[in-house]
Parts: sequence; C-alpha cells; structure tokens
Amino acid sequence: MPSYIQSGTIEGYVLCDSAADYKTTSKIGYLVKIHATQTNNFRPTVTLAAAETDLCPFVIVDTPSTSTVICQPLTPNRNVYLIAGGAITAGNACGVIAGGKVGPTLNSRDAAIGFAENAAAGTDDWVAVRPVGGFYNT
Amino acid sequence: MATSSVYYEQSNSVAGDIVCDCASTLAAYIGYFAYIVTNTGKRPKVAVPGTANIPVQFVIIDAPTTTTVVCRPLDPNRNIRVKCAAAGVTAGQEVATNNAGLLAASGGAAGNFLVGIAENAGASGQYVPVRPCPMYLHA
Repeated sequence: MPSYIQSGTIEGYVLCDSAADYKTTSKIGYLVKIHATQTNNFRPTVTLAAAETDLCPFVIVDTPSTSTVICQPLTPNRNVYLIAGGAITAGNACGVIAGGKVGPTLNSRDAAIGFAENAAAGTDDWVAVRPVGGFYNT
Repeated sequence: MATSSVYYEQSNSVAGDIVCDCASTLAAYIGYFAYIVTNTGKRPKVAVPGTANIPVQFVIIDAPTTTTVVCRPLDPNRNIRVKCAAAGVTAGQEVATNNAGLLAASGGAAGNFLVGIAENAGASGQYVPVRPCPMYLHA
C-alpha cells in the first residue's frame, strides 16, 4: 500500500505554469527547466533553458493558455521530438542550448539530453531524441 | 505489448514499487532516501544513507514490517515527495541526499551524486516534490 505522502505525485504529463507566454510564441517542442519562483504552490513554474548547463527535465507538448503549459518528462522509456538548434547527426549525443532548442554540441559540464534517433538538417527541424540524463564529460 | 513468456530473461524483473529488506525497522523513515547495501538472495536490502551525496535509488514509501520496506524507484517520469532537511531547498534547485537520507541542496562538486530538481521550495520536515534525474557530477 503506497504511502499517502506520495498521493500528490503524478506519472507522465504534468500541467505547469509558464514563466512567459509560450502559447503565442509557439514553444511546443522546446526544453524547459524548473523556475526558482513559483506562480502557485500546486505545480512547478517552468521557463525555457537559458544556458547549455541548465538541467531540463521537460519538453513542452501543449500550451493550453498563455500562462500554462503541458510538459512531458524526459525519460529513457520514451523518445521525444524536439526542436533542433542546428544540424544534428543521427546517433550523436545532444544537449540543450540557450532558448530551449536541442543542439549538436556538448562542452564540458553541459547538460546532456540524449542521443539523436534521426538526423536534423538544420535549425527548427524536428528531431527524435532518446533521453539519457547526465552531464557531458569532455 | 510483449509478454514475459517471450522475454523470459526479464520475467523476474519488475516495474515500479518494490518490497526490499532492511536490517531494522524503518517505519520512522517514510519519505527518506534509501540505497542498496546488499542482497538477501531474493531482493535488495536497503538502508537510509549515513553519508551525504552517495548514490540513492529509492524513496521509502511504506514499512509493512520491521524487516521490510516498500521502495519507489527514482524515475524521471514521476515526481516524488522527499522529506526535507533543516536547511530547506528552493524551487529549481539541484538536490541530493544529506547524511541522514533527507533532501538537501546538492554539493555540486565532482563525484557528487545528483538526485534531481526540487519542484517546490521546502522547509525543514516538509515533503517536497522532486523531479528525479539521477546522475553523477563530473570534474
């Protein structure tokens, strides 16, 4: 019998507050991190990645309003489609870049997102990524 | 969906919560981190960390007997509530276990084990939701 303490936790998609309007600016497929300032106590507030070292546990999959987003957690059990920030080679490790896109370059201490399952021709292509957590160690 | 009869090598593996052995009752440690210390031959034997920044795999969610606990794996697909240490945490902070199995800010140093990211701010004794993303920090 699971403990009641975990009754407020949830598996899979989560509704989050957004630090900015990601509906009008069409940020579906972008990576987000948890913001330090919460809009309310019931759910995280998320914001687009600002640096390559940011840990981004979610990708935005829907924008029901200008102040909320639905996020899918990055888990190795499910691949995700992300917006590329440049050309990516299938099989290569990739990481987040400033602005929330996924990039082909990983420097030391960058937050790895996963491995590209297909190639991206260039910026704003959709690319399937198999998530694996970790920091890239050059 | 594949059946276990096809992938018979995995027929004894299990997804989600598992019963583990423990040396003595951990009824007072629900919501604490736990890590694998050995194996009794049937299942892992776990303990609450006595050192900060060691790799933890589970959070204790129930203690049905004095020698068993129910543990929930740290899975990025599901947030999990963990009891917070005295210093507290802030939302968005990288977190780890402290030297008593409680939630604390990650040391952030090479070799430290990161458990995840706090989804809420939390104070001493509160059960803070954490988004697991376990990993070692490198040099």
